[in-house]
Amino acid sequence: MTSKPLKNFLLLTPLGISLLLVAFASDGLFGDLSNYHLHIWMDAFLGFSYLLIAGALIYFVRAREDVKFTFFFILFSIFNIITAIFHFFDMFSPYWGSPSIDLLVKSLTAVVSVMTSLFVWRSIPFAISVPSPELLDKKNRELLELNIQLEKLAVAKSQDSSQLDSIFNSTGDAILLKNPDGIVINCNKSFTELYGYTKEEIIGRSVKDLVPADKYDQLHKIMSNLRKGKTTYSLETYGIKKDGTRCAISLTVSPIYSSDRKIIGASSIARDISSRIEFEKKLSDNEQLMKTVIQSVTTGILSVSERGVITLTNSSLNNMFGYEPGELIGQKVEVLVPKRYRDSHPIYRQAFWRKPENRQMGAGRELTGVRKDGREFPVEIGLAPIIHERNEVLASVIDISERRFAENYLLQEHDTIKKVLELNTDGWWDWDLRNPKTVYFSPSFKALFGYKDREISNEYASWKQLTFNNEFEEIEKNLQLHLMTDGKHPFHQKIRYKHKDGTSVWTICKGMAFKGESGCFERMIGVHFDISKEIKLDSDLQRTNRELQLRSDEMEQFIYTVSHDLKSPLVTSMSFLNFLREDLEAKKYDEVEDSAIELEKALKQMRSLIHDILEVSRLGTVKLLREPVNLTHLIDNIVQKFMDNDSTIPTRITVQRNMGAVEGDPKRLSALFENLITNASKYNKRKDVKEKTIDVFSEIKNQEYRICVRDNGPGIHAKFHTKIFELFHRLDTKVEGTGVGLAIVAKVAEQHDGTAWVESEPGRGSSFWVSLPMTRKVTIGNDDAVNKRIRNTENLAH
Amino acid sequence: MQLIRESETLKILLIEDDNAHAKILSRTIQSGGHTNYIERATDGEEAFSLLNRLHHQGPLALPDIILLDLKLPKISGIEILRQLKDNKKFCFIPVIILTTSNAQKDKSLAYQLNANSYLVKPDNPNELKIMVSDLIKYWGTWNQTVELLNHRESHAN
Repeated sequence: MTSKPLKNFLLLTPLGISLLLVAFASDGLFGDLSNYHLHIWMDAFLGFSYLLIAGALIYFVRAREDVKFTFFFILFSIFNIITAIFHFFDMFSPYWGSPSIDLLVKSLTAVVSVMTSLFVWRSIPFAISVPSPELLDKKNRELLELNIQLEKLAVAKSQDSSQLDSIFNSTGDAILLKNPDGIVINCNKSFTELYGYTKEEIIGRSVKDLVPADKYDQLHKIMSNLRKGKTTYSLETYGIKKDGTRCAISLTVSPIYSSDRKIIGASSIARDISSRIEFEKKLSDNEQLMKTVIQSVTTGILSVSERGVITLTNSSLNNMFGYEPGELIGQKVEVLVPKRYRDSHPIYRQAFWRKPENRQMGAGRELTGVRKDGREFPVEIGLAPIIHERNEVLASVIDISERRFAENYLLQEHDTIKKVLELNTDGWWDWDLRNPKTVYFSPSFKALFGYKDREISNEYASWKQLTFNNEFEEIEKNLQLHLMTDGKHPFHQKIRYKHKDGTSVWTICKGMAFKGESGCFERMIGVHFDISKEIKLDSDLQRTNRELQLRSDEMEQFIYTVSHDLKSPLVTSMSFLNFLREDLEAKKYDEVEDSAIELEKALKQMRSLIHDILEVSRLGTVKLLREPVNLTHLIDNIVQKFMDNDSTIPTRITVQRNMGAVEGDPKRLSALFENLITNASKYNKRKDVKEKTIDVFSEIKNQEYRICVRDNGPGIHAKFHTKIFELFHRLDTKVEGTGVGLAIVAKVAEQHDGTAWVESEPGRGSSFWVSLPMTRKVTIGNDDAVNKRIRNTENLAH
Repeated sequence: MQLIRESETLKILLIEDDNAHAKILSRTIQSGGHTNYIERATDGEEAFSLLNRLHHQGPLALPDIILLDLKLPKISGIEILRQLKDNKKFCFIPVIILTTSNAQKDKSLAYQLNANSYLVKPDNPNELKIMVSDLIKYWGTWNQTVELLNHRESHAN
């Protein structure tokens, strides 16, 4: 049914029904215009009006499709129709006068009326919200205006409108456009993503749907402020998503103006800040945790600004320095530094800020803090720069008084041990077994071998270098034995070390390994005792023994020879004395003379032998003199004496002039040359020479002074060249002699640190040489030299 | 066959460097009434040249006894003893060491080198006489004793 016929139908039908019912009720149209008739007409008009209203409502509902609450309208229509019917019934009540029907109709009317009135009240908010047509009209005009504006804008920005559109849709912020009444008119893609609505769903809805109920006031305030002309709002708030959950947003609301500066809407830009909020919450939690940590640690912590002002302290630091909580805040950090360092401290601070990095303060210096009461204590400070807009340094301070005390105690203890060891031993080492390459060698140990402390490095290798080849192996073997037997096998070692001057130093080394807390050996200490003196004594003793043995052998030889050589003339003299007596008794005088001569010879032999023996024994016992001896002068004297005694023998003796001087014992040197000259004459029995000649001369060779006594005698075979220097050894027994002369020569030469030898060949004469050192060291009474000699001897001996 | 030589003459070689001692010994040996023949050498060289000369003359020319002094020039008496006993030509000749030394080491060394006797010259002349007399009596008949013994052995075989 079209609207026009429907309208006609709805208008004409009530009219028809009303007129028809009037006709029936009054028995004819325009009858008696009595009061009763008037009733009928009035009821007919009322019924007609009600039906007309119902028709109008039906029409309205049918005509407007978007009308909500259709049920209400229907109900209202029914109400009107029934009311109309009620009035129509009233027209006939005088005729039928049935109260039951009347009551029925009234009851029906009342029910519908109550229902309708209830519905009416319920529908009041809606009825209020339904804008008046004028308002709607106005709105529509505004919207139109806005659209025009937008279009204008779009046209104006046609070149970059797509760009704008893309920004509008691609930005991460949710953008919403609304009119001044809070109705959404547009949104971008981010908005749909954030809130979960589609664009279609949200446009036309009120922004209230996007705001939690507890924020309505805020919204209202913003909207009204915007309308009043406040330009921009920025706030952090919550939004409600489609699914009803809340999300934290940062919201910026700005008005949108029309070209004539009228506010035609607002844009709101929302940014999801839920993650930031969460982060900030964590940050704040962490900060709280840090604060708790800082306050609870036993390490003193303070924060100091770049200018040196204390900005934070924890309770440990306050306690450490004796301040009340917060007392230090704002003070210069120098109050914690002893007065004597205060002036220099800012320089260190500045130095720190030139190169801020995490580090220990002080770099090797011992740091001292000062308490409020002035007491000082050692500290250890770690620095950590905090670099942001306001540079600060976080310092952790540890009171190391106790540690320092313990260290000092240990140090003192160690020092005491060191001193004791240095005092009581001749040198010691301290071997770190956990780091076996390092051995501490005490200065005295190094000094024992003539080294300064720095000349020997504290390494295991140095030890080896100080000992002799191969001998270190035994030391190492015993060291291992000591360690492997858990120290049961004592390390007690005689060690020979090399002295810097090349000699050897004998020591006794007693070592012991010590266990640490781990139960393993951690260090070993070895103490040394210099036994060089004992060794020297030992060696002296051995030398003396050897000398004694030599002396003893010499003595035996001496006694043997003496017993033979002294007994021999005794036997001779006794025998000839007997012969003499026999001959005299028998009165045979032929051989008396001969016997007497033999007797005399034997006695003379005995006499010279006794003389020489005494001479030799004197050589060994009387102390040797040391004085300059002029050789030419000495030999001249001997020659003179010799010539006086044996002037009968034709001997020509030439002595070199200016032979120079040697140092020695003049009497002994005199005996030496006397023997040589006497021998040269005595044993020269050559018949083929007219004249015996003896030449005495000297030469210098190999730093020795060599004096020669040369004769033109028979010469000596090479095989006797050594033997003739032996005591009592004689080559020619026909010549008077004792066999002592050359022994004396050899002995005296030896006593002067020289030697005697002969160069000779049979028939070519003999040259007896004596060498005396030119620069002879004075050896007696010089301990160092003796020691050195002893050490050298030991070197040879080992 | 005459087994024991009638002659009581002994040939003695005296090796002695000391003239006086040589004289003493000669006179003492002769004084016993025996007509003994004494040859003297003053040292080892002389002694060996003499012995070699005598050896050339025949075994009988060799001395019956050698009296040897120990203290001699050039070659010692001990060395002479060794050479004598090492030499097959002379080793059978009894060597009597006659010396002034009574050192034990000389004595044992001499006996080790097969010296036949070791006598120390006494400083008492009478003692010397008796000693010489005894040694001549004993060692003078030594060779004859050896010959006799050899003869008996050969007969027994």
